[in-house]
Amino acid sequence: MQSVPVIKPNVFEIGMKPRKAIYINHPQVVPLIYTIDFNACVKCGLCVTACGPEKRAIDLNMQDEFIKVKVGTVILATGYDIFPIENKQEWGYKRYENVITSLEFERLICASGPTGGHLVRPSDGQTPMRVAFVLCAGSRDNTGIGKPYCSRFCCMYSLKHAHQIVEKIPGCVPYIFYMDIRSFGKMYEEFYYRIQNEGAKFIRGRVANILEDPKTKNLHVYADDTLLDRPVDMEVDLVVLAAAIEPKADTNRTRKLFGVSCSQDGWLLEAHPKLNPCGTTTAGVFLAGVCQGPKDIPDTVAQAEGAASAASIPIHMGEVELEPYFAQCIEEKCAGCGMCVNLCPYSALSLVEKNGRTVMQVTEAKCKGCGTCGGFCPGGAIWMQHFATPQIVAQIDAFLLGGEE
Amino acid sequence: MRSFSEVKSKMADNKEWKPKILGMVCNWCSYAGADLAGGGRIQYPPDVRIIRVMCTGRFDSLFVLKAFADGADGVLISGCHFGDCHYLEGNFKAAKRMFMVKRLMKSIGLDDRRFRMTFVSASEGAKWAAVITDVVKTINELGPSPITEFRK
Repeated sequence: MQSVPVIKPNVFEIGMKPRKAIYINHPQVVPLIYTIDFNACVKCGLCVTACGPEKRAIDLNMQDEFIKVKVGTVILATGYDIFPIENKQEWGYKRYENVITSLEFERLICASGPTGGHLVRPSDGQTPMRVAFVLCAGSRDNTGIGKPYCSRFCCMYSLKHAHQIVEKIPGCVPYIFYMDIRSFGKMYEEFYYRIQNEGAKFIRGRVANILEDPKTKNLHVYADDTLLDRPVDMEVDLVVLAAAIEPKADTNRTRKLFGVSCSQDGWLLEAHPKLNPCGTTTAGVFLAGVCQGPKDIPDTVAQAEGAASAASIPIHMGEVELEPYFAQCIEEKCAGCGMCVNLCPYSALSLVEKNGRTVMQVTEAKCKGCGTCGGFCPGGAIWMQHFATPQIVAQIDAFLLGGEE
Repeated sequence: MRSFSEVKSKMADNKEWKPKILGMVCNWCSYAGADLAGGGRIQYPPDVRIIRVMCTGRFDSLFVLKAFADGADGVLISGCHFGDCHYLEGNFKAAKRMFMVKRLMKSIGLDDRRFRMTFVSASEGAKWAAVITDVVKTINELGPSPITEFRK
């Protein structure tokens, strides 16, 4: 790695640290091996020489390949993106150097991060002594710019960040601007009290505006303290925005591959919010984690275990239970026209010779019971199990002719 | 003591005309959306009776004509959004059939606004309520079906 000439921003450290074209993504990566960024690599071959002729671990001529894997069940765990908080212009992210997101804060305070765990102001490298945390940054926002939902885990990690500041920088005061503190989990409320006792200041009110002092690069946070009912203008050294989360940009593409729908806010839709939170309406496709909706680590682990168990059921059963909804051909009525054969999206229908006549035949295992063939058949020769024409007509009649007049 | 039928006919006399609208909804999107509207206690007019089918592709043109012949004032078919069909493309085929039925209705002198196809996904409880409100409004404006009027 020492010999590699190409230097790029480290994506894992959100560009706050350089990395070579051959790199380890982050120290905890599993398996712990180097990877080459072929978009940056100039194929100089210095790394191959450094690796030596015995090991020969690097092959610069390897090609990307698509691997086909045949599977019976799929778990979607595609995660989330961070909401582009610069869209909320009043908070000045990307305009003011000392306004950072929680993820950047997380890297700065991390011992293996770009500063070795020393929290610094991006503008001058000084240690901040007053840090404002803006909660619900883009979450619970009905302006149309942000997200209407609660991102659920920002409260807790911001409390953790406040704790880390108090622990690492003596005399530093975290100011937390919040709407509501949603410390909903087991021992979470106790953690909230602990942070309060450690000296973090909580100000209940949404931050209206942040302005920068051009000389000192300090920031003025304007908010309305709704508990004291008075406006606040607080000068701080650093502002941390707890940005909302949003569905991955390619969610629509992914979900269409698997026939999964999404809810109004764009997260993937579970089969039932209470009774089937890991499943989807497509058999064999399961959901785990934030792709289904915002959730913190314990909830994600719980759902992942649920999805894994649900996905293993058909594997261990070795066979699949079919729904009793499938089409059947009424052979006496079937004229063998074959119009239905092309309508079937599952190729479950075919024409066969039976007793000297051409009739349609259903492969029940392939049929999912949508009824598209039954709705079309000009001869009424297709019997849809449980949604048969006489059954539907009886329902229509009951509504329009029977009962009430 | 008055008999049940007497009470019923008395009620029928007092009652002003209420539209009878048949809805056929698919199991995966609109039925679930209607369920969500109910679960969310969203209010909407009670004039649409829904029949559940697995897919809007199941709807036979004859069901719609049968409903109108039986005296329905309107028919609503509601399924998944295009591209979201649980059975890949059932709603496309239903839409094709819907246009065919609409043409037929026009040519027999039945206002084709009485028959509508909408797309409500499983997460759109509020949209379901809006759709029903709008369908009922349209049918109320159009008045009773001419087929029932002729029968009198």
